[in-house]
Amino acid sequence: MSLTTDNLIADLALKGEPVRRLRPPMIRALIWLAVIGAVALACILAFSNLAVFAKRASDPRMAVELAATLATGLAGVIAAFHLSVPDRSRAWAWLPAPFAALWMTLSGWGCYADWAEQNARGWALGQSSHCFFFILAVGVPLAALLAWRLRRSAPLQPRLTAALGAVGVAGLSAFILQFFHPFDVTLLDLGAHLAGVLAIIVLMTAAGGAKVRGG
Amino acid sequence: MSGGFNQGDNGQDRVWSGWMAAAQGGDKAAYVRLLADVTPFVRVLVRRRCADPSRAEDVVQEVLLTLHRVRHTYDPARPFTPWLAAIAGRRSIDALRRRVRQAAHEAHDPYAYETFADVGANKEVEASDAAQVLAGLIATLPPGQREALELLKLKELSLLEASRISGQSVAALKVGVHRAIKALRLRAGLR
Repeated sequence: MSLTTDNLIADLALKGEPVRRLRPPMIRALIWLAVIGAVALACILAFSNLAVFAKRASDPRMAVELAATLATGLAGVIAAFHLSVPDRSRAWAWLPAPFAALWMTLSGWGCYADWAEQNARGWALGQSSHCFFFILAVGVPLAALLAWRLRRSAPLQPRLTAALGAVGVAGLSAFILQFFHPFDVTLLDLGAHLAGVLAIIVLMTAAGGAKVRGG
Repeated sequence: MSGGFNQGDNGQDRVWSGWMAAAQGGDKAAYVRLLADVTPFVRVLVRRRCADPSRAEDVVQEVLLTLHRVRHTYDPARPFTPWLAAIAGRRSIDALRRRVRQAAHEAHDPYAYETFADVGANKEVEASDAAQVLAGLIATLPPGQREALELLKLKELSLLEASRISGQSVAALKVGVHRAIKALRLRAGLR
């Protein structure tokens, strides 16, 4: 009655239908990013005030922060695609770390400077709820689309893969938010950004992890 | 079969890579050759983390099943051995974690059921009573849970064997046996 390994091999060989080979992870990541980038660009051109954005981005600190946010998003997505196939190094998991650290540091520093300069207003509510819901509204569909693409690879480490994808999606959502965020960031705004980013990471790591693993 | 294997053996790797590429294209003969040829290599990798031969063989089978499920992710432009070793390593770690989790939930207490000073008396008098009570409790379980418990705990089949016989998925069997034991504990008045 026991299922021997030899029997299993015979069974599997019988089920060995042709399969469609996956493209290399970098190509898959770039295709996904290109599609999302095209949709985001269309929305930005149609609905955002680019003149206000350009004025804000002319501040060197803001420009570096924006670049770090975008780099975190790109690196997270690229790392997730790499970790979704078995033989890629776990070191890919560290790819977004320096960009994320720079993003958080600059963002926090900007807030602190703002708070120190205008003490009372630093704690003002600003547009916190708008930021939080914007990041969720953009991030959740992006997370679902990414989980759907990653699921095809059937990753062996679904939670780590999903967590990196979530970091990527959170970075991209926060970057897109900047085009619709024509005001200085207060401390509570930063809190709302962080809450939105963390909410996406937690949601995708928990629920998305199961989805990715489901294969 | 090509016999010996070595992680650094490029010739061996090229052969496996070629068979895998053919298997991805639907060549079942190449696929069966590949699976048979890599199994000893997988067994060596698994036994580095799992000394118990019967458990190790279960993990070897899980590795082969995973290889089958993710075979579309192999890129023939890259070496085959690291791809296979990554799968074997991951499945071995999963099995190790499963064992640790199980061990954390199971306690060995040989004196828990002793009521008489004479150990033999406990065994003879209570064993048949306990068996009858247990059989009665098992009969009250839903069919799926009862089948999972009988196959996995009473007949001590592996998950794969039980899945094959019952037609239930491995996940359903795990859930079924977990719920069955929980229900039996409740009904027997144990914690």
